[in-house]
Amino acid sequence: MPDRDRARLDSSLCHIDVLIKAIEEAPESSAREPARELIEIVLDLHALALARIMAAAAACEDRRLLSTLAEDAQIKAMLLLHGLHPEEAETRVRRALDRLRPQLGVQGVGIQSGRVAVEAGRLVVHVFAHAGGDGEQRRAWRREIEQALLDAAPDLEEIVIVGLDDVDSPASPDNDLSRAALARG
Amino acid sequence: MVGEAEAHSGWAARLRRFACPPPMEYCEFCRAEIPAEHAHLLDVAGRRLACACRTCALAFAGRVDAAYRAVPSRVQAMREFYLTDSEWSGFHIPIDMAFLFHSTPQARPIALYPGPAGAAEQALSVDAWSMLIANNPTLADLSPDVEALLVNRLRGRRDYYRASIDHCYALVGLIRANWRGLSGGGEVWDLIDSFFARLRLDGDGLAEQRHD
Ligand SMILES: [Zn+2]
Repeated sequence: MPDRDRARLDSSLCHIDVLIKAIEEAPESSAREPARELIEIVLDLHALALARIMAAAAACEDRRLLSTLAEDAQIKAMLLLHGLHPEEAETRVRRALDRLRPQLGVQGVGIQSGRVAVEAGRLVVHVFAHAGGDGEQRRAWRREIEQALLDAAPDLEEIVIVGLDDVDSPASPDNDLSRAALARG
Repeated sequence: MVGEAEAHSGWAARLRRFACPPPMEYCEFCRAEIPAEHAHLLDVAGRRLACACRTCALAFAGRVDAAYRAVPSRVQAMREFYLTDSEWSGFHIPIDMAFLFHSTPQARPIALYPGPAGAAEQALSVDAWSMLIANNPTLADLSPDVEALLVNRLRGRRDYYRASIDHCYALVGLIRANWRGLSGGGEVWDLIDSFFARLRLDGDGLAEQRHD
Protein backbone atom coordinates (compact mmCIF):
# COMPACT_ATOMS: atom_id res chain seq x y z
CA MET A 1 0.00 0.00 0.00
CA PRO A 2 1.50 3.40 -0.99
CA ASP A 3 2.42 5.75 1.86
CA ARG A 4 -0.07 8.30 0.58
CA ASP A 5 -2.94 5.82 0.91
CA ARG A 6 -1.71 4.71 4.33
CA ALA A 7 -1.65 8.31 5.55
CA ARG A 8 -5.12 8.90 4.16
CA LEU A 9 -6.46 5.81 5.90
CA ASP A 10 -4.89 6.85 9.21
CA SER A 11 -6.26 10.35 9.00
CA SER A 12 -9.75 9.05 8.11
CA LEU A 13 -9.77 6.73 11.11
CA CYS A 14 -8.57 9.54 13.32
CA HIS A 15 -11.24 11.86 11.97
CA ILE A 16 -14.02 9.37 12.79
CA ASP A 17 -13.56 10.01 16.52
CA VAL A 18 -13.64 13.77 16.06
CA LEU A 19 -16.85 13.59 14.04
CA ILE A 20 -18.57 11.18 16.44
CA LYS A 21 -17.80 13.55 19.27
CA ALA A 22 -19.10 16.50 17.26
CA ILE A 23 -22.40 14.73 16.54
CA GLU A 24 -22.79 13.55 20.13
CA GLU A 25 -22.22 17.05 21.41
CA ALA A 26 -24.27 18.81 18.76
CA PRO A 27 -26.68 21.30 20.36
CA GLU A 28 -29.53 20.36 17.98
CA SER A 29 -30.56 17.05 19.50
CA SER A 30 -33.18 16.57 16.75
CA ALA A 31 -30.37 16.19 14.18
CA ARG A 32 -28.43 13.68 16.27
CA GLU A 33 -30.67 10.65 15.82
CA PRO A 34 -31.06 10.95 11.99
CA ALA A 35 -27.29 11.40 11.69
CA ARG A 36 -26.67 8.27 13.74
CA GLU A 37 -29.28 6.32 11.80
CA LEU A 38 -27.80 7.42 8.49
CA ILE A 39 -24.42 6.05 9.53
CA GLU A 40 -26.02 2.83 10.72
CA ILE A 41 -27.77 2.30 7.37
CA VAL A 42 -24.69 3.12 5.29
CA LEU A 43 -22.60 0.79 7.44
CA ASP A 44 -25.20 -1.98 7.07
CA LEU A 45 -25.23 -1.64 3.28
CA HIS A 46 -21.45 -1.93 3.16
CA ALA A 47 -21.43 -4.82 5.62
CA LEU A 48 -23.87 -6.84 3.50
CA ALA A 49 -21.95 -6.23 0.28
CA LEU A 50 -18.58 -6.95 1.93
CA ALA A 51 -19.92 -10.16 3.45
CA ARG A 52 -20.92 -11.35 -0.04
CA ILE A 53 -17.53 -10.41 -1.48
CA MET A 54 -15.79 -12.36 1.28
CA ALA A 55 -18.08 -15.35 0.81
CA ALA A 56 -17.28 -15.37 -2.92
CA ALA A 57 -13.54 -15.07 -2.19
CA ALA A 58 -13.73 -17.90 0.34
CA ALA A 59 -15.50 -20.10 -2.24
CA CYS A 60 -12.75 -19.37 -4.76
CA GLU A 61 -10.35 -22.26 -5.33
CA ASP A 62 -7.36 -19.93 -5.41
CA ARG A 63 -6.76 -19.09 -1.71
CA ARG A 64 -4.56 -16.15 -2.67
CA LEU A 65 -7.56 -13.91 -3.27
CA LEU A 66 -8.80 -14.29 0.32
CA SER A 67 -5.39 -13.61 1.83
CA THR A 68 -4.81 -10.62 -0.46
CA LEU A 69 -8.08 -9.14 0.74
CA ALA A 70 -7.33 -9.91 4.39
CA GLU A 71 -3.86 -8.37 4.28
CA ASP A 72 -4.53 -5.15 2.39
CA ALA A 73 -4.52 -2.41 5.03
CA GLN A 74 -7.42 -0.48 3.52
CA ILE A 75 -9.62 -3.54 3.04
CA LYS A 76 -8.56 -4.98 6.37
CA ALA A 77 -9.81 -1.88 8.17
CA MET A 78 -13.28 -2.30 6.66
CA LEU A 79 -13.34 -6.04 7.31
CA LEU A 80 -12.47 -5.41 10.95
CA LEU A 81 -15.14 -2.75 11.26
CA HIS A 82 -17.78 -5.17 10.05
CA GLY A 83 -16.51 -8.20 11.91
CA LEU A 84 -15.66 -9.96 8.63
CA HIS A 85 -11.91 -10.38 8.93
CA PRO A 86 -11.01 -14.07 8.52
CA GLU A 87 -8.47 -13.96 11.36
CA GLU A 88 -9.61 -14.10 14.98
CA ALA A 89 -8.64 -11.20 17.23
CA GLU A 90 -6.44 -13.56 19.27
CA THR A 91 -4.39 -14.44 16.19
CA ARG A 92 -4.02 -10.82 15.14
CA VAL A 93 -2.93 -9.83 18.62
CA ARG A 94 -0.40 -12.65 18.87
CA ARG A 95 1.09 -11.58 15.55
CA ALA A 96 1.28 -7.98 16.69
CA LEU A 97 3.18 -9.12 19.80
CA ASP A 98 5.54 -11.15 17.62
CA ARG A 99 6.25 -8.07 15.49
CA LEU A 100 6.72 -5.94 18.59
CA ARG A 101 9.16 -8.31 20.30
CA PRO A 102 12.32 -7.41 18.33
CA GLN A 103 11.49 -3.68 18.46
CA LEU A 104 11.14 -3.72 22.25
CA GLY A 105 14.04 -6.14 22.53
CA VAL A 106 16.52 -3.54 21.35
CA GLN A 107 15.26 -1.26 24.13
CA GLY A 108 15.95 -3.97 26.70
CA VAL A 109 12.31 -4.98 27.18
CA GLY A 110 11.63 -8.67 26.91
CA ILE A 111 8.04 -9.75 26.40
CA GLN A 112 6.58 -13.19 26.20
CA SER A 113 2.91 -13.62 25.58
CA GLY A 114 0.93 -16.01 27.69
CA ARG A 115 -2.80 -16.49 27.50
CA VAL A 116 -4.64 -14.32 24.99
CA ALA A 117 -8.39 -14.54 25.30
CA VAL A 118 -11.37 -12.52 24.12
CA GLU A 119 -14.51 -12.37 26.19
CA ALA A 120 -17.47 -10.07 25.61
CA GLY A 121 -15.45 -7.75 23.40
CA ARG A 122 -12.72 -7.55 26.00
CA LEU A 123 -9.31 -8.89 25.21
CA VAL A 124 -7.12 -10.04 28.05
CA VAL A 125 -3.46 -10.47 27.20
CA HIS A 126 -1.11 -11.98 29.70
CA VAL A 127 2.41 -10.78 29.18
CA PHE A 128 5.53 -11.84 30.99
CA ALA A 129 7.79 -8.88 30.70
CA HIS A 130 11.18 -8.09 32.11
CA ALA A 131 12.60 -4.64 31.89
CA GLY A 132 14.44 -2.09 33.93
CA GLY A 133 13.43 1.53 33.96
CA ASP A 134 11.27 3.60 36.26
CA GLY A 135 7.48 3.77 36.45
CA GLU A 136 7.30 6.46 33.79
CA GLN A 137 9.31 4.38 31.34
CA ARG A 138 7.24 1.29 32.01
CA ARG A 139 4.05 3.24 31.44
CA ALA A 140 5.45 4.39 28.10
CA TRP A 141 6.17 0.77 27.14
CA ARG A 142 2.72 -0.23 28.26
CA ARG A 143 1.21 2.45 26.03
CA GLU A 144 3.33 1.32 23.12
CA ILE A 145 2.25 -2.28 23.55
CA GLU A 146 -1.39 -1.31 24.02
CA GLN A 147 -1.32 0.85 20.90
CA ALA A 148 0.19 -1.93 18.81
CA LEU A 149 -2.47 -4.36 20.03
CA LEU A 150 -5.26 -1.85 19.42
CA ASP A 151 -4.05 -1.28 15.87
CA ALA A 152 -4.17 -5.04 15.37
CA ALA A 153 -7.63 -5.36 16.90
CA PRO A 154 -9.50 -2.04 16.64
CA ASP A 155 -12.77 -3.96 16.80
CA LEU A 156 -12.34 -4.78 20.48
CA GLU A 157 -14.11 -2.78 23.15
CA GLU A 158 -11.26 -3.08 25.58
CA ILE A 159 -7.76 -4.42 25.84
CA VAL A 160 -6.38 -5.32 29.22
CA ILE A 161 -2.75 -6.25 29.54
CA VAL A 162 -1.88 -8.25 32.59
CA GLY A 163 1.69 -8.67 33.78
CA LEU A 164 3.35 -5.38 32.88
CA ASP A 165 3.23 -4.30 36.52
CA ASP A 166 5.35 -7.26 37.46
CA VAL A 167 8.28 -6.45 35.23
CA ASP A 168 10.64 -6.44 38.18
CA SER A 169 9.44 -9.60 39.85
CA PRO A 170 9.35 -13.01 38.21
CA ALA A 171 5.91 -14.60 38.02
CA SER A 172 5.36 -16.23 41.39
CA PRO A 173 4.34 -19.88 41.47
CA ASP A 174 2.10 -19.58 44.53
CA ASN A 175 -1.10 -19.23 42.47
CA ASP A 176 -2.24 -22.68 43.35
CA LEU A 177 -2.06 -21.89 47.03
CA SER A 178 -4.27 -18.84 46.78
CA ARG A 179 -6.57 -20.66 44.35
CA ALA A 180 -7.04 -23.44 46.83
CA ALA A 181 -7.64 -20.86 49.54
CA LEU A 182 -10.36 -19.15 47.54
CA ALA A 183 -12.00 -22.47 46.76
CA ARG A 184 -12.44 -22.99 50.47
CA GLY A 185 -14.05 -19.58 50.86
CA MET B 1 -3.82 6.85 15.45
CA VAL B 2 -6.04 7.21 18.50
CA GLY B 3 -5.94 9.60 21.42
CA GLU B 4 -4.29 8.50 24.61
CA ALA B 5 -7.36 8.92 26.80
CA GLU B 6 -9.24 6.33 24.77
CA ALA B 7 -6.32 4.04 24.19
CA HIS B 8 -8.30 1.11 25.53
CA SER B 9 -10.84 0.69 22.77
CA GLY B 10 -10.29 0.65 19.03
CA TRP B 11 -11.73 2.98 16.41
CA ALA B 12 -13.91 0.24 14.91
CA ALA B 13 -15.43 -0.57 18.30
CA ARG B 14 -16.15 3.11 18.93
CA LEU B 15 -17.75 3.64 15.51
CA ARG B 16 -19.92 0.56 15.97
CA ARG B 17 -20.93 1.64 19.45
CA PHE B 18 -21.95 5.02 18.06
CA ALA B 19 -23.87 3.62 15.09
CA CYS B 20 -25.56 0.82 17.04
CA PRO B 21 -25.69 1.93 20.67
CA PRO B 22 -26.32 -0.79 23.27
CA PRO B 23 -29.80 -0.93 24.81
CA MET B 24 -30.41 1.74 27.41
CA GLU B 25 -30.53 1.15 31.13
CA TYR B 26 -33.00 2.86 33.42
CA CYS B 27 -32.80 4.86 36.62
CA GLU B 28 -34.36 2.75 39.37
CA PHE B 29 -35.81 5.84 41.02
CA CYS B 30 -37.39 7.88 38.21
CA ARG B 31 -37.24 5.38 35.29
CA ALA B 32 -35.32 7.84 33.10
CA GLU B 33 -33.00 6.31 30.49
CA ILE B 34 -29.38 6.37 31.60
CA PRO B 35 -26.14 5.65 29.72
CA ALA B 36 -24.06 2.51 30.28
CA GLU B 37 -21.73 4.49 32.53
CA HIS B 38 -23.94 5.82 35.29
CA ALA B 39 -24.09 6.61 38.97
CA HIS B 40 -25.11 4.15 41.67
CA LEU B 41 -26.87 4.50 44.99
CA LEU B 42 -26.31 1.99 47.75
CA ASP B 43 -29.35 0.40 49.37
CA VAL B 44 -27.69 0.51 52.77
CA ALA B 45 -29.79 -2.11 54.58
CA GLY B 46 -30.08 -4.44 51.57
CA ARG B 47 -26.39 -3.97 50.66
CA ARG B 48 -27.33 -3.65 47.00
CA LEU B 49 -26.37 -1.10 44.35
CA ALA B 50 -29.18 0.66 42.50
CA CYS B 51 -28.60 2.31 39.12
CA ALA B 52 -29.44 6.00 39.15
CA CYS B 53 -29.63 8.99 36.85
CA ARG B 54 -27.57 12.02 37.67
CA THR B 55 -30.47 13.97 39.15
CA CYS B 56 -31.53 11.19 41.50
CA ALA B 57 -27.92 10.51 42.51
CA LEU B 58 -27.45 14.18 43.32
CA ALA B 59 -30.64 14.22 45.39
CA PHE B 60 -29.06 11.68 47.74
CA ALA B 61 -25.56 13.16 47.73
CA GLY B 62 -24.42 14.15 51.17
CA ARG B 63 -27.35 12.47 52.96
CA VAL B 64 -25.95 10.05 55.48
CA ASP B 65 -29.20 9.09 57.24
CA ALA B 66 -31.14 8.04 54.12
CA ALA B 67 -32.00 4.47 53.11
CA TYR B 68 -29.98 5.06 49.93
CA ARG B 69 -26.52 6.56 49.92
CA ALA B 70 -24.71 8.13 46.98
CA VAL B 71 -21.64 6.16 45.88
CA PRO B 72 -18.97 8.48 44.53
CA SER B 73 -17.12 6.12 42.18
CA ARG B 74 -13.41 6.32 42.81
CA VAL B 75 -10.37 4.29 43.60
CA GLN B 76 -7.04 5.24 45.03
CA ALA B 77 -4.06 2.95 45.41
CA MET B 78 -2.52 3.27 48.88
CA ARG B 79 1.20 3.28 48.33
CA GLU B 80 2.28 3.26 51.94
CA PHE B 81 0.23 0.75 53.85
CA TYR B 82 1.04 -0.82 57.15
CA LEU B 83 -0.33 -4.30 57.79
CA THR B 84 1.74 -7.29 58.86
CA ASP B 85 0.97 -10.84 57.76
CA SER B 86 0.09 -11.83 61.31
CA GLU B 87 -2.25 -8.86 61.70
CA TRP B 88 -3.95 -9.96 58.48
CA SER B 89 -4.26 -13.52 59.77
CA GLY B 90 -5.84 -12.06 62.90
CA PHE B 91 -8.81 -10.88 60.81
CA HIS B 92 -9.67 -14.55 60.13
CA ILE B 93 -10.59 -13.85 56.51
CA PRO B 94 -10.29 -17.21 54.71
CA ILE B 95 -8.97 -15.84 51.41
CA ASP B 96 -6.35 -13.30 50.39
CA MET B 97 -8.78 -10.79 49.00
CA ALA B 98 -11.46 -8.81 50.84
CA PHE B 99 -12.95 -5.39 51.40
CA LEU B 100 -13.28 -3.87 54.83
CA PHE B 101 -15.56 -1.04 55.83
CA HIS B 102 -17.69 0.37 58.60
CA SER B 103 -21.30 -0.79 58.33
CA THR B 104 -23.85 1.70 59.64
CA PRO B 105 -26.77 -0.77 59.96
CA GLN B 106 -24.60 -3.19 61.91
CA ALA B 107 -22.89 -0.39 63.80
CA ARG B 108 -19.49 -2.06 63.48
CA PRO B 109 -16.68 -2.73 61.02
CA ILE B 110 -17.04 -5.77 58.78
CA ALA B 111 -15.10 -7.53 56.05
CA LEU B 112 -16.71 -9.00 52.94
CA TYR B 113 -14.84 -11.42 50.75
CA PRO B 114 -15.85 -12.74 47.34
CA GLY B 115 -16.54 -16.38 46.60
CA PRO B 116 -18.42 -18.56 44.14
CA ALA B 117 -21.75 -17.75 45.80
CA GLY B 118 -21.23 -14.01 46.16
CA ALA B 119 -19.89 -12.02 49.08
CA ALA B 120 -19.45 -13.68 52.46
CA GLU B 121 -19.16 -11.73 55.67
CA GLN B 122 -16.56 -11.87 58.39
CA ALA B 123 -17.03 -9.74 61.49
CA LEU B 124 -14.09 -7.55 62.44
CA SER B 125 -13.30 -6.71 66.00
CA VAL B 126 -13.52 -3.03 66.81
CA ASP B 127 -9.98 -3.26 68.17
CA ALA B 128 -8.58 -4.69 64.96
CA TRP B 129 -10.28 -1.98 62.92
CA SER B 130 -9.04 0.76 65.27
CA MET B 131 -5.52 -0.61 65.04
CA LEU B 132 -5.73 -0.59 61.24
CA ILE B 133 -6.83 3.05 61.29
CA ALA B 134 -4.16 3.99 63.84
CA ASN B 135 -1.49 2.48 61.59
CA ASN B 136 -3.00 3.94 58.42
CA PRO B 137 -4.61 7.25 59.38
CA THR B 138 -6.03 7.97 55.92
CA LEU B 139 -8.58 5.21 56.58
CA ALA B 140 -10.16 7.40 59.26
CA ASP B 141 -12.13 9.38 56.69
CA LEU B 142 -13.54 6.47 54.68
CA SER B 143 -17.26 7.11 54.21
CA PRO B 144 -19.17 4.42 56.11
CA ASP B 145 -20.96 1.81 53.94
CA VAL B 146 -19.95 3.30 50.57
CA GLU B 147 -16.17 3.29 50.81
CA ALA B 148 -13.91 0.40 51.71
CA LEU B 149 -10.36 -0.73 52.12
CA LEU B 150 -9.94 -3.22 49.28
CA VAL B 151 -7.18 -5.72 49.90
CA ASN B 152 -5.48 -7.94 47.33
CA ARG B 153 -2.86 -10.26 48.79
CA LEU B 154 -3.20 -12.95 46.11
CA ARG B 155 -0.02 -14.45 44.64
CA GLY B 156 2.18 -12.64 47.09
CA ARG B 157 0.84 -9.20 46.22
CA ARG B 158 0.31 -6.65 48.95
CA ASP B 159 -2.02 -4.20 47.23
CA TYR B 160 -4.32 -1.91 49.16
CA TYR B 161 -6.88 0.41 47.69
CA ARG B 162 -9.25 2.94 49.02
CA ALA B 163 -12.19 2.02 46.77
CA SER B 164 -15.82 2.97 46.51
CA ILE B 165 -18.15 0.08 47.16
CA ASP B 166 -19.27 -0.19 43.50
CA HIS B 167 -15.75 -1.36 42.60
CA CYS B 168 -15.84 -3.91 45.41
CA TYR B 169 -19.19 -5.31 44.29
CA ALA B 170 -17.98 -5.37 40.68
CA LEU B 171 -15.26 -7.78 41.84
CA VAL B 172 -17.82 -9.90 43.70
CA GLY B 173 -20.08 -10.04 40.63
CA LEU B 174 -17.20 -10.90 38.33
CA ILE B 175 -16.19 -13.86 40.47
CA ARG B 176 -19.71 -15.16 40.98
CA ALA B 177 -20.47 -14.96 37.24
CA ASN B 178 -17.29 -16.67 36.11
CA TRP B 179 -16.58 -19.27 38.79
CA ARG B 180 -16.37 -22.80 37.37
CA GLY B 181 -16.02 -26.02 39.30
CA LEU B 182 -14.23 -26.36 42.61
CA SER B 183 -11.20 -24.18 42.02
CA GLY B 184 -12.87 -21.55 39.86
CA GLY B 185 -11.21 -22.47 36.60
CA GLY B 186 -8.42 -20.60 34.82
CA GLU B 187 -10.72 -17.99 33.34
CA VAL B 188 -11.90 -16.48 36.62
CA TRP B 189 -8.32 -16.05 37.87
CA ASP B 190 -7.35 -14.27 34.67
CA LEU B 191 -10.38 -12.02 35.07
CA ILE B 192 -9.41 -11.25 38.68
CA ASP B 193 -5.91 -10.34 37.46
CA SER B 194 -7.41 -8.09 34.82
CA PHE B 195 -9.73 -6.49 37.35
CA PHE B 196 -6.84 -5.53 39.61
CA ALA B 197 -4.69 -4.51 36.64
CA ARG B 198 -7.37 -2.02 35.65
CA LEU B 199 -7.83 -0.91 39.23
CA ARG B 200 -4.11 -0.17 39.43
CA LEU B 201 -4.38 1.96 36.29
CA ASP B 202 -7.41 3.81 37.64
CA GLY B 203 -5.90 4.13 41.09
CA ASP B 204 -2.77 5.69 39.65
CA GLY B 205 -4.92 8.38 38.15
CA LEU B 206 -4.15 7.29 34.58
CA ALA B 207 -7.83 6.71 33.83
CA GLU B 208 -10.68 8.92 34.93
CA GLN B 209 -13.79 7.42 36.44
CA ARG B 210 -16.77 8.60 34.48
CA HIS B 211 -20.41 8.32 35.40
CA ASP B 212 -22.50 10.96 33.77
ZN1 LIG C 1 -33.49 9.12 38.24
